[in-house]
Amino acid sequence: MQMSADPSTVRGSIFGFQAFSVHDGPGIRTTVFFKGCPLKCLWCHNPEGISGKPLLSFTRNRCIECGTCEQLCPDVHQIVQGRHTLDRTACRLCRRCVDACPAGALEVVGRGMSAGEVVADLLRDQRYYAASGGGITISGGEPLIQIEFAEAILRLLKPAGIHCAVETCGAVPFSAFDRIAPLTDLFLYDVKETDPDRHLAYTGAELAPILTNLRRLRTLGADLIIRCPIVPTLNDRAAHIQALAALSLEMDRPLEFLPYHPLGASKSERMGTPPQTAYGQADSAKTASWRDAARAMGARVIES
Amino acid sequence: MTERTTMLKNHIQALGDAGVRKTTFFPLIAQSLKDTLGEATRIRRAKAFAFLLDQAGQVVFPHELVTGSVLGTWPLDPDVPSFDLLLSSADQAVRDYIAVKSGQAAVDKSRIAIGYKKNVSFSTQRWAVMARDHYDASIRFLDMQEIIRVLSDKYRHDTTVEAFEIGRVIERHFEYDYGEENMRLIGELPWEAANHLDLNYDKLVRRGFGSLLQEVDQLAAGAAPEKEAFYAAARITLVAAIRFIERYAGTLEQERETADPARAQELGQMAAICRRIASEKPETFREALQLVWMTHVIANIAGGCALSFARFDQYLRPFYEKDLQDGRMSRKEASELMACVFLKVNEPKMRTVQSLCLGGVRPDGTDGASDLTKCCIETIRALRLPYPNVSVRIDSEVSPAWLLDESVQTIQVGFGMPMILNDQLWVPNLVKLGYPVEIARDYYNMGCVEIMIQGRQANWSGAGGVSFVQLILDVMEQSRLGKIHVPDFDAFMRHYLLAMSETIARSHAQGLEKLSQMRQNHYDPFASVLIDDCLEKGIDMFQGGAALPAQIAIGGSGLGTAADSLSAIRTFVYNRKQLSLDELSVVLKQNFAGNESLRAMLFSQTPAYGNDLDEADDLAKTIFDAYSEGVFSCNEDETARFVNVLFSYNGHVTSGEVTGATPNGRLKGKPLSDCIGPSQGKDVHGPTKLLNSVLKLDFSKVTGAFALNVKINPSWAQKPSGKIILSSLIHAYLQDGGPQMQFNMQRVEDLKAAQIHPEQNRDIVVRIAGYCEYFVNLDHQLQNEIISRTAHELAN
Ligand code: SF4
Repeated sequence: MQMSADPSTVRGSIFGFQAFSVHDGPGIRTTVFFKGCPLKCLWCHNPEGISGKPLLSFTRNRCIECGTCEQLCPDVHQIVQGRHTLDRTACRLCRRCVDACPAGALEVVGRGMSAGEVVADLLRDQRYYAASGGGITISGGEPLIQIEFAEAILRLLKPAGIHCAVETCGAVPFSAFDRIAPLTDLFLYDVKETDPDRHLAYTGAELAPILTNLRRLRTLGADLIIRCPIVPTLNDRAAHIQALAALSLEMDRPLEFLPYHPLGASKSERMGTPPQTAYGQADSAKTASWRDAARAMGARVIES
Repeated sequence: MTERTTMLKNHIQALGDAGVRKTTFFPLIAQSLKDTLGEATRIRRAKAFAFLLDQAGQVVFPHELVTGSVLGTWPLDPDVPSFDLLLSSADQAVRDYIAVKSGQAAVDKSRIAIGYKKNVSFSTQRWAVMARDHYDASIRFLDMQEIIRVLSDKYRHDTTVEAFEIGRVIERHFEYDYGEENMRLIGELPWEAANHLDLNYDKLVRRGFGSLLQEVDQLAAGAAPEKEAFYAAARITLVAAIRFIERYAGTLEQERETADPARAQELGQMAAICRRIASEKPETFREALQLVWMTHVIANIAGGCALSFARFDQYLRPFYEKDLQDGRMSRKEASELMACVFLKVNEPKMRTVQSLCLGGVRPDGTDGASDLTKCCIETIRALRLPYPNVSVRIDSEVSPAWLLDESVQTIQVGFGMPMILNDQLWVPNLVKLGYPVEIARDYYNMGCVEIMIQGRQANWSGAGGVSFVQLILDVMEQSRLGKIHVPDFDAFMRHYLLAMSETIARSHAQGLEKLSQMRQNHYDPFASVLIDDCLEKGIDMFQGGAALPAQIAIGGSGLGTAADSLSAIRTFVYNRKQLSLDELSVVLKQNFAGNESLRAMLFSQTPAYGNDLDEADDLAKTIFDAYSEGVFSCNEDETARFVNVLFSYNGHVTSGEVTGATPNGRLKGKPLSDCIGPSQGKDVHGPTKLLNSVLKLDFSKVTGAFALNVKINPSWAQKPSGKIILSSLIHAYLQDGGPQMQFNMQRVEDLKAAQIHPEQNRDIVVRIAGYCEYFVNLDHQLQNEIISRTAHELAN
């Protein structure tokens, strides 16, 4: 594919920015979240990022049941016995209800932006990046399914000397990595499960291509951190922890465990995405035990 | 902490719990003033000071190595009634107040002011929202809080009184009565004591009281007749101070007789030190520290408050280095000595807020941070106390990296200390204010965050003030009454800025008036000895004797609330045209009654200051820049320096209580935004966005006191990686010209637990506006405000 002459005009779809992101990669970072993902993890904590399209989000505890939205758009909004109900199938995302809602309960999540606009936003926090060893992170969703957009943003940031990280689930054609590896300082590479059957069951995708991409990316000399969300009862098994440690040793790159937080469950309710089970949360002793187990095998484990 | 300092800390805590204290100050001063009727005011002032010191009790704490306490003038009151009696008397006071206010009763002074020194007043502010402010109450602070809670609840539905009035009536009800005659004598003098300044401890430790006394005598010998009284008064107070310290030596010797051998030896050393430094110049670190502390205690006994230790690590450095070099003292011993002093700053009835400033550049521009600086920071970190209120000055070009590093490690502990001050901003700005650069480099934070110059200024004072929020409501009211026409937002801003400049001009005039009043009859002969140039000129510090002009603050308030309110007006009245300005005015007057959804809309959809949104930040900037320029330009003559100040102390809560509903959806009575920060809970994108917003303000003409509270989440800040993150936030903020910053790190659960079980959670220190305090010492309203802002931070 041909890169357009001016990367700043390349457009893509995102669902937000997170300034002062201090848990994803080193230092103070700003993360931009791309829309769309090939995986469907049971525990996804950004369910609004799975679909490539914008969504109407509704936050019940903000709603004061005033009925303003119902008047504007009775097909979508109805107050039934004093309780707001929502039918998203009829929603055309016209945003009129969003602007009119007095409580800020309605929101459209997801919007188109040009790479130039994204970069301008990311650079607003530039003063904090260098000193903290931070920079920007492109995340999602899966950013590399909008490879044009991702590449354009990285091209614009490269000359500014900004540290760029890309968070990926790895389930994309390797050509995507080929294109951005030279522009990326650090990959946050997620391996969600090391058992192939379970991987398929938990994420809806095959494990093998993800591991193949990981190994190839490493042979390109890219710097990366292997990351895995640890979800109690699903993948908090000793065997999985050990397999991750082995992978980390094989790649000669550090490992990071991301303790599960049941945020996605309430978010999926807000976004109208398929309901999620809320899994338990591991306490700090438990999360330390994963790190200890991996370290015992000689893996380097980081905590951010 | 060492075993000794732990025991001393416990002892001081126990003193705080021991009961209600009633001062001997008023009766003693009044007694002396009766005896000196007819003499010159400043002589009476000096004699009363001497009498007070001579009569003051002297208390020695177990375990301490540096002695001196104000508690000698604050004995326990044995006659405090039971809680039930206190409650019923307070209830009666509230009922009387309601009766008077609703016109049902004539003002029956004997009834309403039973036994207390003030009568019913309908002025609009409460005066105490924390234990330390409540110097002089005949009730335990926690009991009073409980009574306020019970009675506010009881009279919740009474429409004649607002909640804050109940609090105020109760606070006044529990003021001690020292007798009308006594208070009249004191008020007529009047008794003013050096406050909100530093005494020049640098000069003190270089000279000692004896040498200062000699100088007074020499100057007096050749003085013009009109200066004689000044020197005579100075002499009386100096001699009294020397006598007081010598008497302390005696007190220590007495204690020694009954002490165990180990303690007896310590008491003997302390007595010898006191005997020597009473008039001699100190030779060792310990002697210098003892002299500083004793002088501090004397000034506090005399009624001073917010007395600062100023640049503590500068004037004690020669003693510290010499003792270490000569092997007379170890670093650990130095730390323990300082710990004794810092702990004692927290003894009951010490008059807050006492600050201490570390680091920064020296008058010649070179780095002033030393091993003593480091030792101080380490000591403070281990003690985790609310006082002294410590600042670390950082010059990003000159200060060594370890200075920021040590500061950050201390911030990570999570008790709000130290605040960071930016040398690269303050030094040039003080030069703009008219001070030579070597003098500007000697700045420090007085009290909370007020910027002053060490050793050379009379007290900081305030005049008038600019409520950014009230001015908005005023413009709206003018429009509603048809007095002005406000067709568009530009017109609104024109009226607003005009009103602001008129308010500044009024405050300026008030300040000059206040200054001239002060010069008519205010004297502090003791403090005048320790403020540069007073002695040489033979003029009291209150009379213009100080080397630098008096600093008068014209404080601004409510920046965030005001910016958001203007933003709401622009968005909803002028852009979206959802309602007219006058309609909004009416809705606000009714406190949004029946307009809940409008309020929700204003609250949730108004672009708010603190999120790096240009469309809200530009309004904060307009307000801020106009205000800071307006005050800056009040300095055409040399009599005083008018300084701009955005620092709220407790004012964001107390003025919030009396401010009506605001266009940003804030309800009547709720707190205003504090200092230069955003509206509570409205900065929702984290500290970098907050700092970006703040850095849009033009700080090139700020001169007074500017605080920014950054609420941080322990989940990242207390991790090892939190250190580099905090350092880079501070570094970036200083680099880009931010004047001051301070951090608050708390857990909501802990704060809530402390509200329920204050006795079990007394160690939690929170950062409020420019100062820190034990959470349990705060009034319920202020506690709630802190909990809500903390909860908000943790949710993001
Ligand atoms: S407009 Fe907003 S607050 Fe009103 S019913 Fe609809 S979602 Fe709820």
